[in-house]
Amino acid sequence: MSEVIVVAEQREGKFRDVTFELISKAKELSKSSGFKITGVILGYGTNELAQELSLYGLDEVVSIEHEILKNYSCEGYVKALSSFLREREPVLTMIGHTVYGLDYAPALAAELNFPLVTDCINLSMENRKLKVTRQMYSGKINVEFSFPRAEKYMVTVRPTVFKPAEKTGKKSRVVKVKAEIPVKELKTKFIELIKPSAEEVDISQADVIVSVGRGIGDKDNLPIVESLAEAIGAALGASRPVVDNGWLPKSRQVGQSGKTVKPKVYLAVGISGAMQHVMGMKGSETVIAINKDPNAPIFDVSDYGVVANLFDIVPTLTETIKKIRGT
Amino acid sequence: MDVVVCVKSVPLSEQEIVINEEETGVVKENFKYEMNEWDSYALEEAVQLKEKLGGKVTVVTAGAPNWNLDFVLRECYAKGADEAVKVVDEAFEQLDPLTTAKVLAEVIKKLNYDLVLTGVQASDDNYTQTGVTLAKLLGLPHVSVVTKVGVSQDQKFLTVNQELEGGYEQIIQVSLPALLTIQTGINQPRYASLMKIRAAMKKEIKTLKLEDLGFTRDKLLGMVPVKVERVFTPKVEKAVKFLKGSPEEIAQQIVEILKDKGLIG
Ligand SMILES: Cc1cc2nc3c(=O)[nH]c(=O)nc-3n(C[C@H](O)[C@H](O)[C@H](O)COP(=O)(O)OP(=O)(O)OC[C@H]3O[C@@H](n4cnc5c(N)ncnc54)[C@H](O)[C@@H]3O)c2cc1C
Repeated sequence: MSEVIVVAEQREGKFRDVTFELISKAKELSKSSGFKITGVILGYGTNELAQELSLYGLDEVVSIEHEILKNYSCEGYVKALSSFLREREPVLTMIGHTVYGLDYAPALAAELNFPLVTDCINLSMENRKLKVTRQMYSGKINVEFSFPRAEKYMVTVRPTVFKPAEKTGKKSRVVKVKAEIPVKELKTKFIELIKPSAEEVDISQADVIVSVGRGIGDKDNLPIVESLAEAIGAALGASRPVVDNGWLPKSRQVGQSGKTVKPKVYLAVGISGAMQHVMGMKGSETVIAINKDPNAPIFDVSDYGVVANLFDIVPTLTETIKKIRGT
Repeated sequence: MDVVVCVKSVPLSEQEIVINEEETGVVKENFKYEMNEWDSYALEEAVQLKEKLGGKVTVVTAGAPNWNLDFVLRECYAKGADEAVKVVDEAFEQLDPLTTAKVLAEVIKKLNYDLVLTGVQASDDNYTQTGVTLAKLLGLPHVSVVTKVGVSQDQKFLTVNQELEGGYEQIIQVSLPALLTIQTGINQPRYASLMKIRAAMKKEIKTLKLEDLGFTRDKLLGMVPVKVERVFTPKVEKAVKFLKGSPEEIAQQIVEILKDKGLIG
């Protein structure tokens, strides 16, 4: 029977959400094609995790262990997974499009000569022929690809797109494999995992966030949005370029590599809506976006949109609110 | 330390994207091009390493004839690159990251280097794949999404920070030669002075054709493992309501929304 392999992702002994999202999509694909679904965990001393994974309705869980896999190691992952996948020859290998995923999947695919498409937001399979959809131009268009010559495929899948699988109550069998990794030959070495520091501002707790993007143009223009945030009583957030430029501290950054926020209202000012930003704010109750580009992808995740120059709208909005508040 | 930096010429981010009639791609006629944002950080990192440790910075680009490659490479010269190489062919409009990496690998194999840098991703196709694939093809260890680079005393290895999600980072040691994919914010890319821009106009750009690297256009296109089936506009997750009117009227409507949510009195 053909097999779909889902590579689980874990950090510090906990699965990351994308693992369960991959499983649910794999199950959907298998419903029509009758594939066997195998979940793979890489790590060391991961018995408990393997048991946990076995509750999600997979056909098999394989726990690949090695001391070097205790922490994420790209070389270790590529060595361990390539020999495992060579043996299994799955029709499809699914990996999360996370930093780990984007770090090892391209190397693994090249090693195995599997075609890889990254950051997929949809997959469909008919007669063992895979089609995938991914975005380009930072979310402005979707592109559907087929693989004319391939019979085995590898994909990385964008997190937060698919609904996570639930525990089924049925337990699948768990197989433990000791990975063969020539440790002496490795050219990289894990030194340390640095955890996010407890910062003075925590925007993730705010009810309202006014978030500023590159559209603000210059550090000198920041007071325009700061005044708005102050008038509303909102926390000030930012997209990555604003932080990269040193205009606001990292603690303000919303998105994949910053904070995940779920305020009642998220007001995005001059933010295009790249997926790495959207990932951190799409759980907001109401999103209002101000952007001069009517095609900006931020409008795809907004409840209310204003297509305008932010410098025309924001100061007027601030004044209006100040008047109401009598300040 | 000799560093090779791969840079890509990409359409301006504010470029309007229009899907062609056949729904097989986008209309590129009016595109203007610039250096990929991530690559400008990779270039700056390379130039800073050179300034600290000596050596040479070579930039390599591959692209179609109308991608403004010379403009991008001259910007690299003006910002401190020592040599620039371009591979030019129409085929690059249609290549996937694996095939592009194969071309870049052929160029880089012939250069002297201790370190290869690329950006984490290109802002047009967002694959985050070319750099890591290139490392694999060159037989180099790699670290991606790098936000800090330290060089050991003996210049035999690097200690780098790899950015993970949600504020996590991981410190990794990697022996040289190696490849890093560079993340934005790692440094503050410099502005080029007018004098340097002028000087850059006179510098030589080495031009390679696919044939110089043992490829042909047909062969390359035949190596692409994927085929575009359809290009379409993303489905919206929420039905957005556009607020219209004068700035005052729009402000009033936003106020109503905030009131509705009980956020202002
Ligand atoms: C691994 C990785 C992790 C990342 N993590 C994050 C993250 O955590 N958070 C994050 O935000 N990004 C992250 N990014 C970066 C992300 O890909 C985008 O580059 C970034 O989000 C873009 O920020 P922006 O929308 O502010 O800028 P741009 O994309 O440049 O958008 C600016 C917008 O402002 C609009 N605009 C310009 N002028 C005006 C005006 N006068 N009035 C109104 N609108 C105007 C433009 O139309 C445009 O839509 C990450 C990228 C990678 C590769």
